[in-house]
Amino acid sequence: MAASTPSGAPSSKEKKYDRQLRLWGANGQNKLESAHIALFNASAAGCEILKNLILPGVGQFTVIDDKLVEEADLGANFFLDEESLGKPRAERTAALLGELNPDVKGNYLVDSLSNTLSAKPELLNPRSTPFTHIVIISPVPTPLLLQIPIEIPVFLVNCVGLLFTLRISAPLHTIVEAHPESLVDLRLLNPWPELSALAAEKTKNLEVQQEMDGDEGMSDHEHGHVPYLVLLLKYLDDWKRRPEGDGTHPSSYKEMTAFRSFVQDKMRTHVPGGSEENYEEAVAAVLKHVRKAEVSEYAKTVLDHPACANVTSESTNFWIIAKAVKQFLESPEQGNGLLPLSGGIPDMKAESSGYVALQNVYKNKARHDAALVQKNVQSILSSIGREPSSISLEEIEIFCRHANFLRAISFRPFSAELSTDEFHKKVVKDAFESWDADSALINDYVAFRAFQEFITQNNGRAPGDTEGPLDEDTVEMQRLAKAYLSEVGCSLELAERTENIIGELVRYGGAELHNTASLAGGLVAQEIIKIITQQYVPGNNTILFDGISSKTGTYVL
Amino acid sequence: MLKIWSMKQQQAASNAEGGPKKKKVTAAQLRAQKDITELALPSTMRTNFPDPEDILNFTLTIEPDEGMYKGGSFNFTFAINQNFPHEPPKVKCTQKIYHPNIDLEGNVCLNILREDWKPVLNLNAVIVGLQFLFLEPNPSDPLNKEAAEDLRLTRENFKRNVKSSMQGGYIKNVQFDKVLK
Amino acid sequence: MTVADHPKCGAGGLGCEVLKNLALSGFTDIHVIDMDTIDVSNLNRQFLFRAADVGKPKATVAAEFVMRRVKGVTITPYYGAIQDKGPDYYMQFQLVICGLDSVEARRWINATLVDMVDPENQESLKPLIDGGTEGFKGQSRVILPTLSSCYECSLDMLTPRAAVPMCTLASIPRQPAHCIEWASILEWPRIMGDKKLDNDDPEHITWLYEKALERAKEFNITGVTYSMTQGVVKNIIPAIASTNAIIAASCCNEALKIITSCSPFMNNYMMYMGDEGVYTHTFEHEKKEGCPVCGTLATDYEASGEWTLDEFIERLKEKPDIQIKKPTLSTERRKLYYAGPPQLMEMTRPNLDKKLKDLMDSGEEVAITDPGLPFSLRLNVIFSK
Repeated sequence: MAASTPSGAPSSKEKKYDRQLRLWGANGQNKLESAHIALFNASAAGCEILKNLILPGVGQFTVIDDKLVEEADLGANFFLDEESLGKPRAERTAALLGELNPDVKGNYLVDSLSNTLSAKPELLNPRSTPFTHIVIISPVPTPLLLQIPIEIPVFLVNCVGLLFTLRISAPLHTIVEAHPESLVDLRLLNPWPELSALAAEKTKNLEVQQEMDGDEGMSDHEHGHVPYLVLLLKYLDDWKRRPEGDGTHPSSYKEMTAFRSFVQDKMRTHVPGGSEENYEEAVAAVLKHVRKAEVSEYAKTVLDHPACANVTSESTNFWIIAKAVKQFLESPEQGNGLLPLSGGIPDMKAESSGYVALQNVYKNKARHDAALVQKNVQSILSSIGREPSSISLEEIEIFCRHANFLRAISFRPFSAELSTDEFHKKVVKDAFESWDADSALINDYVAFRAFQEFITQNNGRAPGDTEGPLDEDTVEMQRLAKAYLSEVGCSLELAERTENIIGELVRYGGAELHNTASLAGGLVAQEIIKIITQQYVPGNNTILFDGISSKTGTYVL
Repeated sequence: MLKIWSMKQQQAASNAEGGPKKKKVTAAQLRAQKDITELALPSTMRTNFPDPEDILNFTLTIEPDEGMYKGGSFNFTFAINQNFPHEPPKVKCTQKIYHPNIDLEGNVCLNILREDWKPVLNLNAVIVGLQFLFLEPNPSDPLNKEAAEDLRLTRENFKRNVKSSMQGGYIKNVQFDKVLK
Repeated sequence: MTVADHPKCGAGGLGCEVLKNLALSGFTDIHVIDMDTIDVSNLNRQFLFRAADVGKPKATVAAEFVMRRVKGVTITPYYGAIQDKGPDYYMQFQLVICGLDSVEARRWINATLVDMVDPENQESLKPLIDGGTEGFKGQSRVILPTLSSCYECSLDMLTPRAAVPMCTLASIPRQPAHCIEWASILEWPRIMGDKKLDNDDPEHITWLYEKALERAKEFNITGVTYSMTQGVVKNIIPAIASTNAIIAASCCNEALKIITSCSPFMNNYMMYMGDEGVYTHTFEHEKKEGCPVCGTLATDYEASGEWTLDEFIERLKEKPDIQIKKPTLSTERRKLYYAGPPQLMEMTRPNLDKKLKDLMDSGEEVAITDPGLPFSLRLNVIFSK
């Protein structure tokens, strides 16, 4: 990413990418521009996926395909034209895709996946591969699939008729910026000394009505501009000290409701309009914000992950900072059971200066927490033989701001799914026991699983792609589907939905429809972007789309 | 496509004879028609349509009969666009007046004209809100800071300044429009 | 696939995708309307445009590109607003797909297509397929004018843009956006007078940015940037190629199902959420009772052209199924009678003595509002022979 011009006006690159930089920022864009995508099989779906990555400016792409362009390709693939007939598909699609964005480097190889694996193994060796992410458009027989190393993220797509599936296999995926709706963490029940002091000072004479200018009382204007956050802190304290109370914060729903009235009753009502907005905001915020600061399940998963405990010189920055955050959380001198503060507060009725002062108390605390985490990071870096300053404070601050929303996703490898391990069996059985099992897309998965088996047994031929009678393929698909169900340990009767999907798959003979390919192109590209930028949360690990009923389903298979 | 039409026929179309289709009144226009004809205007307020064919643009005159602004005659323009009532009407004061909630450009700070507008609200609610501004000017969160400060400090002084401004006088080097009836 | 006449409105993010999808799905006659010219910020997703096309009309460039690439398709571009065209124009199509970016344009096309439905003419019902995106999210829907929930029925679902009180902008800004809005809403008209603010003029944006920055400094507020200024002033919604692809293909999928009847089309709304995993929600959005566009369809009412307007109103008051007390009546071209305010009542009172035939044509629609009616009433007044 080029930096902004000194006047603050955007660079030409920022102008071009403006609408996406507002989503993933310069950080995400830099990662996108460092990625190199390999596409095996330049079908319509494959080219649509690449299109949606080239437009936002992925670094490089390489199309790998060994077919020549046929008439039928022109009817489905927008990135082939009449001139392309008879020429290598890899060459022509790479050329027409390349026109989309001059900032992206396009390459092609006239080759197949199987030949690449056997004749150019260095291309798919995790240590020597130029590719950061691989897209494979089926049909690919299972043995080939299992040869692709699990260290490289792979996106396997089946696209037939009105249906498609996406299977993601990737090494442990970590996310800092998941983009939750809000990062706000007010700590109303866990205030730190500076916050309590500010609240006490700002509410000193809250109950005293000002009689004349300069007396100690609070004017209506001041009273109506005490930020609700400060009001809640003050009234939580008062609540605890009530003679009839038991010295604790409100916790049950009943207590919360009572506390709400407790706050409401303190509002001045003789003011113009008859009510005070800041009190209304305070009352409305009780149920949402009056609660103990907690470590989310997602954050726990990250901090308790073995990769966090076993940080080595091979570890990524994510795990090093995660370990430092865990130390912060557990140290009585640092977080003492709490994560670093995010530092953000929502907008609220207040005078500018009062709001900014409050905001600064939060910001300073967040900065202070991040500085402690930075210390931890530095000592971890020393212990693994890395330069202590090799992780910037900025990176640590972003991490701390998102500490409660961290994610670590383990994508299961193809081998675990295709060998139908115990985990897989349980997921499928559970899915069949859900209340909406009849219409659920797990039925589609059974058909696609049979599809994978079929192409494996028929050397890459899709069911229905035959001169012979379709019935034979249908019968075989049904047999394969039942065999799979028996392996899982489910009822051997094929659900009506599975039979229908098998019918669709055979009817289209493995052929793509442009429109479905285009939808797949959008959905798969979204997932790839999420994985590349390490922002937002990708689906784990199989996503099915049914264009007949316009539905999607996601399963961890 | 045929299937859709059979749905239409099931809808029990009782209409006999259509004739050529004519243009219809737009949803915004229709809603404005309802709101305007059902305005409950007290004797202190009246509307004027400079172009009676255009009901989306009109003026409202408020002549408060009590409070600090008694004796004045205040004009507001209303501009309703085709997104009404999804968007609120745009209301501006056409005179330069001394009021904490109305600035020298005629912008009006009234919650239902902006942050609290909802399509279920009608023009009557807006008019009631405007009237209220003259009875109870609100010194908190003003558009005209000087006026608000003035009102907050000494109500009596503010009253005097309002009077003089309504006569076309100067306050802190700013001359106001004469708005007496 | 048969020849299909097909407009789609807009050659923007969704439009480019829709044109490609329709052309490669076998449609041979497509019309495209768009009033915009190509901007550099379109290039990250509107894949039919190149840097050299910046400034040219979207509709024309998009149509030419797709015709060059896909043989056998004719695309007719119109560089202008959808509102430039009337029912006669829209009548020639089988269905309309739109990817419009404004509520106003959507309401207009929706109302136009609902109004076109003529129970006597099968061809008059044009399905409307509408799509929209925001970041990783989007929605597509099928509207069968008069039969299913229309765009107007669902207006309440739109979350209005969060507005900040004017007085906050004027006296107690707390956020960078407050400073930017102050600059554009209050400071620009104050300093520039009647000069119109052009959101696309970099000089204007720079002016606002500098003013906002100054104000932020004064109040110790941090975070005002040029990009944020642009975002706030133009209400920029993030947009990416992949989401457009998903929503456009979903729209075209439904168009195909409707035209070919190959499988049931969507009933009637799909939301796509890609922020966290992939989640879709497909549901039936129900018609809104009293929808001002499709809830108050005109019914025929037989009257004599010789009646005076006053007689007509008296007869309406006698209608037992409606409770009318003090009605106001109008047609698209004129006010018939206004029950208030006094100025309009005075102006329209003479109409009460006029004959209906002198005020309207047979079959013309009369819109009636009344304090007793929660919504409005529309009547096609047909003169008995």
